[in-house]
Amino acid sequence: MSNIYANSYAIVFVFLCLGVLLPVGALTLGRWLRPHVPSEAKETTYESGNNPFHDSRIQFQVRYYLFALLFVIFDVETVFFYPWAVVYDQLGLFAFVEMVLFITLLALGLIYAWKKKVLRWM
Amino acid sequence: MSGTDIAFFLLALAAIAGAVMMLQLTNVVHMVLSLVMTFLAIAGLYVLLSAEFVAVVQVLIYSGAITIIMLFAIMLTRHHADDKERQTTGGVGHKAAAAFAVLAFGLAVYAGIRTLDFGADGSALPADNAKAIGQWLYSYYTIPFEIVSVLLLVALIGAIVLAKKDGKGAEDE
Amino acid sequence: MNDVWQSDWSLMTPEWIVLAVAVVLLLIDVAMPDERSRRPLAWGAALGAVLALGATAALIPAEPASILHGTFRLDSFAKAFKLLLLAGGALALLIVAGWNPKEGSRYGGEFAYLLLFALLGAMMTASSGDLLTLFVSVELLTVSSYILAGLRKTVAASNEAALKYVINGGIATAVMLFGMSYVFGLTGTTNLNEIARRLQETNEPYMLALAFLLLLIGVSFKLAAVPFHMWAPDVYEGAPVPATAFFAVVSKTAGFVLLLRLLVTMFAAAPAEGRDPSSLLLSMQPAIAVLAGLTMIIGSVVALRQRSLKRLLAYSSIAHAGYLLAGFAAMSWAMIDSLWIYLLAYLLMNMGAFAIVSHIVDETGSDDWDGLTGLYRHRPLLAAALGLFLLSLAGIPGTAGFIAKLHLFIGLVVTEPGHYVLAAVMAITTVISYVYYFNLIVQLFFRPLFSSAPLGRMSAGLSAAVVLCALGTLALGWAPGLAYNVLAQFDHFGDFLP
Repeated sequence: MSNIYANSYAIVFVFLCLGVLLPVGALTLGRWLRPHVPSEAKETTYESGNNPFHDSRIQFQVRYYLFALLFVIFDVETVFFYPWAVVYDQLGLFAFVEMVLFITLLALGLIYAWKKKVLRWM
Repeated sequence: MSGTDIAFFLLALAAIAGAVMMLQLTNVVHMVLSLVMTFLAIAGLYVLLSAEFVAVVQVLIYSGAITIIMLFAIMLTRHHADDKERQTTGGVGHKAAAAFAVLAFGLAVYAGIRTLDFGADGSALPADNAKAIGQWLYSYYTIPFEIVSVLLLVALIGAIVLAKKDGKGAEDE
Repeated sequence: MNDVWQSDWSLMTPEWIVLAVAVVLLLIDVAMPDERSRRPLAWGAALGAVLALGATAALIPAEPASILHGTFRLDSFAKAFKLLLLAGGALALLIVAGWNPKEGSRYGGEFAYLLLFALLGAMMTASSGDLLTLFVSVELLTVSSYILAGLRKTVAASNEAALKYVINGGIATAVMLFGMSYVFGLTGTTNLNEIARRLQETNEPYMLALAFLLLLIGVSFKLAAVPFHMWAPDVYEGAPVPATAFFAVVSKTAGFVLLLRLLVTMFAAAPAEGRDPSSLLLSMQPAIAVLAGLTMIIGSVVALRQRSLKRLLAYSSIAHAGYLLAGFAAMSWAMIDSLWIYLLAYLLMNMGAFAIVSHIVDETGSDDWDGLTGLYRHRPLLAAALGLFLLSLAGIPGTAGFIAKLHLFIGLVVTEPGHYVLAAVMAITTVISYVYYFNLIVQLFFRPLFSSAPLGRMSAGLSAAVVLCALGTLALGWAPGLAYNVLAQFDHFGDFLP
């Protein structure tokens, strides 16, 4: 049992190696084949024909951060749905009641975010 | 040495290397990436323990969501990585004491777990992880589960309260 | 599946009340226009806590029972400590209702219901017979506390407090969880009684001792016991005063609840190497005693140098945690009773003191003790109440603090063998604590007025809290029989251990 389990992951490992090696191999091969004549104009960042200026890592609006935080919390909540869905047909009504309670509290958080104008852009 | 042992060794090495690099690198983006390496290696360790559901959650929450929030925090703040101005706290004495404490703790735990027998191995675990977790979580552990929903609500409110911009300017900005 | 439906969910009535009130307040808060005062919400929350207190009192005659395999447990221990937690929460909410900071606040509503959520976590901690419930409840309490600490968003000290609290709390949680993982690994169950039973059959005393110490360290962080106390003064100083009162009283009580539930239930009969092979808990007594001694000494000595009222009360609360830990280290047969009485007295005198400090901080905008100078000249009643609380904190006869300290002291010397060193440390640190409490009393009564502007009127919430606490402190000091009558209902917590 344990061997079958571990061996099935050997395939995953092979695919992982393939996935890593493919871009590495392709790029290395490309480097060997292509001519290498650098010039200053070639090394500038491609910006749809505009001349790039300023640093590329600029400071973003703080507003985005709230969205990231909300995303994390709802992400965690999704994790709880998956095992619930898997066993739902075996547990019956009580699991349903539980999840309704869970979603109600989740919805309260959403109402809070909405009323505090977090979801509004500008 | 079986394949599992080799896999464990590599993953553990990757996890520790990621953590050490996180502390040693100076560029914050590189630090986050090395942290991702640790998270992924730990997900691999979960797979070795036949805890597939936990491994997927680890990738989803830690490598996904938590990393994104860290990258956001980096994008939103100003930081000029100047290697020369890197500040460290504490002198040699502090560092030596910390190193001694960590080493002593590691040895104490090692002495304990070297001969420890936790009994059953992982092969007895149910093949269908998510199902088993669901059955426990939604019948036996109903009460902690509902407290978790309150906890998440509190976290949501707290995130909004602490991260929201206040003042009159915030409304008509 | 049937057990879920057949469980007696009415045992959770107090928790349901707190949760329902918090949710209703949240909905009212988001429906209210922004400019309306949030003060009625705090009153509503206090009312909710009082209702839950009544529901808990009504449950006292109920037989010890549990829901869902012990993930919720209502025994005499849970009932007794829920009474304390709810009383502390209600008083803290009264202080919230009277809270009127100089810098203004947009978060009065959040304050009220986050505090209720934190209270819910503390109550569930008292009522859990399962590691998982215990852990999640403690997290609910601490996560809510982090937010409460940071609610003065425009004040840098408050932001610092929240950050320090998160980092230290996170470390504490990690250490505690690490300890729990070993216990779970050795027993394969999360039910506390089942763990206690299975641990008796294991033969891993070294690993168990390691797990015990990890858990002890994790809980010590939460109790702010020395040497894990460094966060407490900064957090107490930066947080809004009602939140500080909540941390000092309710969180500390919850910390002791956690200590008793975790360590006593699981390790009282676990095998050990060394002094007492039959009980790991007893063989670990020296470690707890050292922790208690250090906490008493550092807490009282450092308090001598504080001029900020909030920091002073923070260090005083550290010293009090030390007295309580000493009572725990004694492990006398009436340990839980004496801890309960001490926590009750501590609740009354500290909440009263914090209510007055809250008023002074709101009026003068600083928490320097100059704000107290000559208070007697124009607010004699207020000064008298604060004097009473300080005397009680110092442990002067005639106040609640004396009775409580007496119980702990007796517990230290009557056990066999007696803990005379701890008792001596307790006596000496009590004398040291007289210095700073009496300094404050001198400031209150015998100094000329410091500022010409008299303090404004106290709001209804604060006045109610001060009056209730003063009455309670006096009543417990002169007629301790009242508390004994309540305790008698719990029959020395005979159903605490499996």
